[in-house]
Amino acid sequence: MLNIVLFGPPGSGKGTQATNIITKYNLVHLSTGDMLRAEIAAQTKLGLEAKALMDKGDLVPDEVVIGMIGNKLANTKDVKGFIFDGFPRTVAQAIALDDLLDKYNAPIKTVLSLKVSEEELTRRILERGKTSGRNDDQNGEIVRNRVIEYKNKTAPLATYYSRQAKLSEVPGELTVEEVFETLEANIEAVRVTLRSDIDLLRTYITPISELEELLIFAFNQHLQFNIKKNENPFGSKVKLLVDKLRKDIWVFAETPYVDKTYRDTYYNFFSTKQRKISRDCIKISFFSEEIKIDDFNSLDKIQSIYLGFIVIRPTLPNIFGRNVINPNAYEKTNFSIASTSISTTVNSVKVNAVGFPHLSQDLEAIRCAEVCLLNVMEYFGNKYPEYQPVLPSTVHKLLRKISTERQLPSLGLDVPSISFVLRKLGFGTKVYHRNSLDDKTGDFRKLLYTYIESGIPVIAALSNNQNGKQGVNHAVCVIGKKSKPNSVKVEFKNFGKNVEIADYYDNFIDKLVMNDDNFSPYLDFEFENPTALHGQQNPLWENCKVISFIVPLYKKIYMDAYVARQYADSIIQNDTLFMDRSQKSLIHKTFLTSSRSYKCYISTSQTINPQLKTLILSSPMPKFIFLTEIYDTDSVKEGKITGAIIFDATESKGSPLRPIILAFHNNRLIKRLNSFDSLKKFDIICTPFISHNNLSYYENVQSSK
Amino acid sequence: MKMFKAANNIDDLITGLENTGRISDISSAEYQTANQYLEKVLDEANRTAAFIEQESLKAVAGVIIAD
Repeated sequence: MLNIVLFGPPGSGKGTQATNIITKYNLVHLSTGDMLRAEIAAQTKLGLEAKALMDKGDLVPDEVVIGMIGNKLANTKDVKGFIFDGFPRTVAQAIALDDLLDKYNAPIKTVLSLKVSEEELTRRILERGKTSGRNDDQNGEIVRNRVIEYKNKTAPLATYYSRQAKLSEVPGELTVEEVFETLEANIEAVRVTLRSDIDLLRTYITPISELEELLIFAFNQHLQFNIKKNENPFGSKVKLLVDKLRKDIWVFAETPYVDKTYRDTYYNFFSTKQRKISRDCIKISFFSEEIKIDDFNSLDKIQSIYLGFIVIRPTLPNIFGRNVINPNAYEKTNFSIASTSISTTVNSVKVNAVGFPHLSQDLEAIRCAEVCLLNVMEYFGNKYPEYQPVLPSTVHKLLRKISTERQLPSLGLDVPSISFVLRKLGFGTKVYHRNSLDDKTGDFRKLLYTYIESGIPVIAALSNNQNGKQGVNHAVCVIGKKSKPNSVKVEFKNFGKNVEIADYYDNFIDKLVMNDDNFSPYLDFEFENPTALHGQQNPLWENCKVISFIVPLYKKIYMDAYVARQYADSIIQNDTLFMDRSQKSLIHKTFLTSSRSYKCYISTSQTINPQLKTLILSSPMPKFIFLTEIYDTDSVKEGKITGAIIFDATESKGSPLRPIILAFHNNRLIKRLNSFDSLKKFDIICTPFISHNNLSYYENVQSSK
Repeated sequence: MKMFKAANNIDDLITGLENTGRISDISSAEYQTANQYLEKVLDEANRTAAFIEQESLKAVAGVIIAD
């Protein structure tokens, strides 16, 4: 039952608004003045009692009025609710009314108080007096006293209802329509809560600029929070995300939403706490244009404007649960990342979210280390049939046998534990620590770049924990790169024999892109200063370095990337079998790729010479190959290669030429005709063609509005 | 037995290249040279890779990542 108390000083427009509310919500008007007159006219026992008192000049006691209201409640059947007008006027009456309504299990749902300034009230009543002729409306002094008296009497009452979190103050100086709109919004909010115990799904549509307000509303309405006005429950997190997103994005919210990852941490951890916390989430979906509920009639339409989702958990302030946001939703993008397509739903329609999975730590059940594992597995599990996404409890279960302390609340994981979990989940993990490589050669950095260029998301450990001092130890997923323009001036190293060579990784990588659980997705960073942004917010984070990284490698990649890079370097510097030495300045890039994606790229390439295409496609290859692409100073500007070495990632030892599957440079090519054969030289035309890319490039998509 | 022709034309391509003298064997001298420099490189790189692995595993032990 929708029971409303409407407050308002004389002249506040209470009468008009009461009528509006009654009409809109089909409520019964409960005016104690009217009721008294009716009871007296009907000569009921209560009416006679009241009349006797009034004749003596006494006030009608609260019990009599409450009795009348009780009669009215008992005798009015099948109503949607009551609007109390002019009652209660004192705290004692309010308590008596609450007691009475409790018997009918029909409590007051909201108390709406119209706020109008004293000056405006006085002005309005005096104006009214001119037309109505009422004496008490014509004397300024009397009017002002009535207003002050109202204020003094009702102030304690406002406090009483405010303590019950039922009071809403509505500005009453706007137009009748505007005031009613605000009253309506308040009543609607109550109606939603009224129905929440019957488990209805609710959806909301709003522009991205209103995301934070929508979340506060949804937290209060659906996740059992009581966030007050002017509170800042999410810190700067929502604002930072909204700032990064395009301004023309629209938001579709669904609640309650059951998120597999949050439910897992809920039942394994949060539900065991004394504090009550919701097991539900809110799912926010992003669209590139304004969306209407009718748009969900067309699957194609929804997919064409869909830009991913974010689950909002009730774990304040770190509320970002599992999310996959399409980089095209961002205002500024100019990067290449490993991305996948994840099947999900929005308003019951199946859609694919494209991007790299992200999640924030809740600081209790999952920390950054677990988050990295969950994100990496979400990526691999959706991209390749060999793997499966995992839940936080699976990670802890896998580590249970080797853990020496309790696992919850989580204190994080060390690198060997992260690597161990990945091993258990089917990877042939590799771990690299900065101190194990000569810093001057840049080999540590270039190894990381090699894996990133391979399209493999890498878990990197960032730390400023030096000289035994306790500092920061953080894990992030490095997922992509930001390139320098193709026209950048290349720095070559001379190797004699008329050859100067440049490593692509020394010249063309500007920044790396990571998913850091403390920020929104797709954060770019410089290799030597990965926590520049964190440092701006907290000096504790300054001067972090990438100190180690863990690579979730396919288990049958036996050649180490370090070996592959040395092998390719040596061939480019020394080879006389196929390298065209008339080319003096060469740039090369070595990375891993699956033969499946490489052959698909060759097969569908429009720029490759047909004979070369046939020779590459007819070469048997293992599941993964190392690929060294060779550019010259002109071809690199167009992103075209003039040569390549394709070598076997399952070979690491044995005959030195054995790993070579096929290699070519300009018009020279070597390849085996069968596996027992030695390499043969081919004389065919190999014109430059577009290089292979394992990462998806996202370019600025400007706001259309 | 019915004979099928490979649809990807690889046999035609190789026959054509062979007939026009555009496929040749690598001489043993060329092979020896290539073998020599790569053998050394592979050997050294594999040793270093083993060292990197061993040192990396030592260095990462015990540091809890939690921030």
